[in-house]
Amino acid sequence: MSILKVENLTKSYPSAGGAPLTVLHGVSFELAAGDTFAIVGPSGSGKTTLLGLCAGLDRATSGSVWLNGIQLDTLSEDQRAAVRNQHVGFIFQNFQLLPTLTALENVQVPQELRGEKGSAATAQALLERVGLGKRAHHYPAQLSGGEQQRVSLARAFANRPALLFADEPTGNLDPDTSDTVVDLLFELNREAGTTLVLVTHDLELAARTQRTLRVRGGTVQDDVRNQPVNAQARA
Amino acid sequence: MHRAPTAEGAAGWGWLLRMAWRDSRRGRGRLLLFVAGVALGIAALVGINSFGDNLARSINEQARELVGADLVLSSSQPFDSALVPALRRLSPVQAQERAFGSLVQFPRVQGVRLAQVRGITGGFPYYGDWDVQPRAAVAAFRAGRGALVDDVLLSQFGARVGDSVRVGRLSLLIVGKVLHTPGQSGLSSAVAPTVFVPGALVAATGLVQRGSRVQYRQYFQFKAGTDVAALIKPFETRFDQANIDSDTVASRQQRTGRAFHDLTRYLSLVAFVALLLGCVGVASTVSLYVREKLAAVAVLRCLGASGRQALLIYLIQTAGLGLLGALIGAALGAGVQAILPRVLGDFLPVAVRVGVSWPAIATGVGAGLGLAVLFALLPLLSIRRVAPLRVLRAAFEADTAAPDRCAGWCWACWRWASWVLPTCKPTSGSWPWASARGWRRRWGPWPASAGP
Ligand SMILES: Nc1ncnc2c1ncn2[C@@H]1O[C@H](COP(=O)(O)OP(=O)(O)O)[C@@H](O)[C@H]1O
Ligand SMILES: [Mg+2]
Repeated sequence: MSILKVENLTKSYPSAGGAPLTVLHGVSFELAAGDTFAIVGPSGSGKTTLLGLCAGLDRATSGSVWLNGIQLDTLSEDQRAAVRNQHVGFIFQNFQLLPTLTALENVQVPQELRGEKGSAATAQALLERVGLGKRAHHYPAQLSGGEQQRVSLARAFANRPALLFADEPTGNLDPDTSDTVVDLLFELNREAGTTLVLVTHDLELAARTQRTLRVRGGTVQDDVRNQPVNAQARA
Repeated sequence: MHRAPTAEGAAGWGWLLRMAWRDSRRGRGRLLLFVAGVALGIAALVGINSFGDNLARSINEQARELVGADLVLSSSQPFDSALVPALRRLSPVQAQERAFGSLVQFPRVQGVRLAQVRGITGGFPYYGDWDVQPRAAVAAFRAGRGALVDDVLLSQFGARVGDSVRVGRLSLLIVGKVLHTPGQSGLSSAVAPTVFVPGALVAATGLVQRGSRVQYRQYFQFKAGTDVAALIKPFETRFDQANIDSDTVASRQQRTGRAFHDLTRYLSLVAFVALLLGCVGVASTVSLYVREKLAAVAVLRCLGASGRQALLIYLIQTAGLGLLGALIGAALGAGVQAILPRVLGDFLPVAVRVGVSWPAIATGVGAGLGLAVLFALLPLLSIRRVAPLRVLRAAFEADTAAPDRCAGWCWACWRWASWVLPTCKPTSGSWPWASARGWRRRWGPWPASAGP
């Protein structure tokens, strides 16, 4: 059974001068629950666009996305927000923590939005898990980039998502910090059994997933299963 | 395989309030500007309305002191001899006055100036504080032993009590200086300072002759509770024929009230302009604020907040700040109304009793909260349309461009407010709506170009 199904997805932007600019041309793939999946390709190839469509942050020009069995194209903006809150976790290149909230509060927000009680305890436990238990009451501005990304990891897992989307999660981090964050990402992911969709142009990072989708110029070039040995060796 | 998505997360008002508080942590300095805008407008509004209320009340309370008697008859001719016996029967307590303009001279200091000469026989003023120094001078004056002179006039020439003053052919000892006379504002004594002369000595000045411009006044005091209007009713036609004006406490209340209604109306217009400026401040602060918050809103939307929830977080913030500003404004306004009587002191005929006007404060706080929310709402509405996609691509992702139905609704509200507010009159007539109505008649509803 597929947790994410993308069918013939096309996205074009109206351009001022003339013909619309098409950045995705009929992309299709399917993802099984628990998979780890990388989308790779050169800059400008449409990776972020594809991720935005899969996660219900954007609407496709044509084609459909089923997320956990829910068809996103027919939903309103607010309904898609609810779907994201219920089923999706996010990690961004630039962390996207709320600057006026402490680390703890940032991790609490997804649960609070669901109206769940005891979000503080869960959030504190998650912060301990990413090694920031003592920084719970610090604001993002008081944290380093790597620490901020670890807070956002904690936030991403706070609502026990079925799917985790990460767009260039190490793009703003130095290599050493990157390694820590990536290790943590894969660990948490394995523990929670979450399906991971990872967008990156880093082929080494992509190789740690089970499957890689290579895009170029808005079309899928190939869709390959990675050598499990490879992934094991790294992990 | 999964339940259909609900349109909104389960987070309730508690969470919205908490987020509103959390979100305000940074940039509170900027929000201060917002609070200041509301406070400014409301301070002016509350201060001026309270002052108006207090002035109106003081005029009512002090009208008798203003007149100085229960009834004053005045005419530019001597009262008709046929009328005099009937008038005498009205009350045993009466005073006569002959008033005219004349040059007066202070021989010791060689000063000459045009003054108002009031020759008074009898016990006027019956009410109010005739502030004369020394105190005993009033008795001396009534006994015909000398003149009372406005303090302004004395200090202008450096003359003093004990000097003499020359009025026409008469030279009089100055027995006292007058600091305040009931019914006379500080301003009028500065323009035409007064010399009070014992009535019996007026003839000796040689200034009252056939053809002189003299104002004749007769003051009456009645027993407490006398219906003065009923008492003079039978005289009305005769007064008319003889060109006699009558002034009672009630008519003075009305006239003074009307005169100062114009003052409070003018001040109300000032308050209204301050309020409008405050509102413009609110709208522009909020639209700047919203622009700074777009990224945070996008994150919230991405994590699952609905457009409505995102809007409410900031609306709650705005309403809270509006309330804070309105309360600060009301407190400031209470201070302004205490200061205004001192600033305007010389123009005012009565001592304005300073008191907190609760209706003015309540309207002020209500108006502050309402206007803050109303003027903040339009810029805030764009929050509902912040695209969650911003979290991926803040640089050039345009937010939903579809016209917001709510914005139209909001404009309708503004227009409605501009029509309806001027017709409400929450306090005792000093509210600026009266002026606003005139303003609107001239300029139409809100500037047409401001619409979407
Ligand atoms: N709103 C937009 N309007 C016009 N072009 C856009 C817009 N968003 C993205 N693009 C274009 O789509 C292409 C794919 O972008 P993106 O998905 O960010 O690529 P990647 O993430 O692979 O670097 C780029 O050429 C980009 O310029
Ligand atoms: Mg990208």
